[in-house]
Amino acid sequence: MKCRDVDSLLPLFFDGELDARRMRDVALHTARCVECESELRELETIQAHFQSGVEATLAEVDLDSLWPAVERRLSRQPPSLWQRLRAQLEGLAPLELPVALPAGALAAVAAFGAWLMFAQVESSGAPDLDRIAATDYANSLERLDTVFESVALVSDQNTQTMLLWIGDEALGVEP
Amino acid sequence: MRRPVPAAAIVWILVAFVPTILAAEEEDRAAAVEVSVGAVIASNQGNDFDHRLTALRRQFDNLFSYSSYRLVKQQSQRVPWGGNAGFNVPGGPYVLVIPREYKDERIFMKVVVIENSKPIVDTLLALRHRGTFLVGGHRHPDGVLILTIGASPLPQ
Repeated sequence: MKCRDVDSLLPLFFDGELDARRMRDVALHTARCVECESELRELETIQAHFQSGVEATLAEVDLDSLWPAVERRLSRQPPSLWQRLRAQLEGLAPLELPVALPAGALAAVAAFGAWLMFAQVESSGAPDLDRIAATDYANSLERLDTVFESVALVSDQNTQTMLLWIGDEALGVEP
Repeated sequence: MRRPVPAAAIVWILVAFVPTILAAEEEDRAAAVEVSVGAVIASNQGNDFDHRLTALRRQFDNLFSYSSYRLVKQQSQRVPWGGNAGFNVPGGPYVLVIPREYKDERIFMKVVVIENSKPIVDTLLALRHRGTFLVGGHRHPDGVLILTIGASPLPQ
């Protein structure tokens, strides 16, 4: 891989958007080519400047007045369903109660049944976050000691494969 | 009329077979993980793809551009967690794999590649179940050596 090829791929490499093979090729090239490595460093510097700019903008936002504004909006919230239902029941005449109570009980049973159905759908369809956290762990290299000066590590998530490329052997890297 | 089985015969059978059964169970429990290591020579001489490497074809196509892949040796060993599985690569290094534990569906293992009595790669890694760890780039007289390392926990 030549410098001009790497130059066009560096932004994608920096953002981790290259496929595994190109990632490895660019990593190997930048490990050996001083010019391309300095290009990569420049990208890192730009990223750092951008980040500091965003942080400076955030620092200018007045967060102290945020919570009082939220509290004001909360105080304007309409009464809850239960509060409205209670007000309705209190307004019923004594003769209407024998009709209203069974109707209310029926509505409660219907609501409970709907909740049960919803809960079953959720338990079968919704992702189990603990399980996802456990299964989403990728291959990883915890520690590496090697006599080689140049190494590259490539992880191919599609095939659950991790490649440790050692030494300076470049045979086969070029098609 | 059926003759009753003598009690002595039952005791004799138990004494004879129980230790054998227990030993077999102990062996199964001890052999907790199967480690497999393959040695592949990759080169640009010819266009031969060893049919025994079919399961790895996608990985190779994604990662390399060699035109020829030949499996030199494939070996599997059943070892307990914390045990050593050693593999000799013909004309190449010695590979030592030490599976440590199985956690969060990943196998934590130590892999040491030794050449001329010196470790040239010493690494700790976590590999997903059915994942593959490749160590490539080592020069070999016939091309480049690619080691394929995998491990599968055995059912208890």
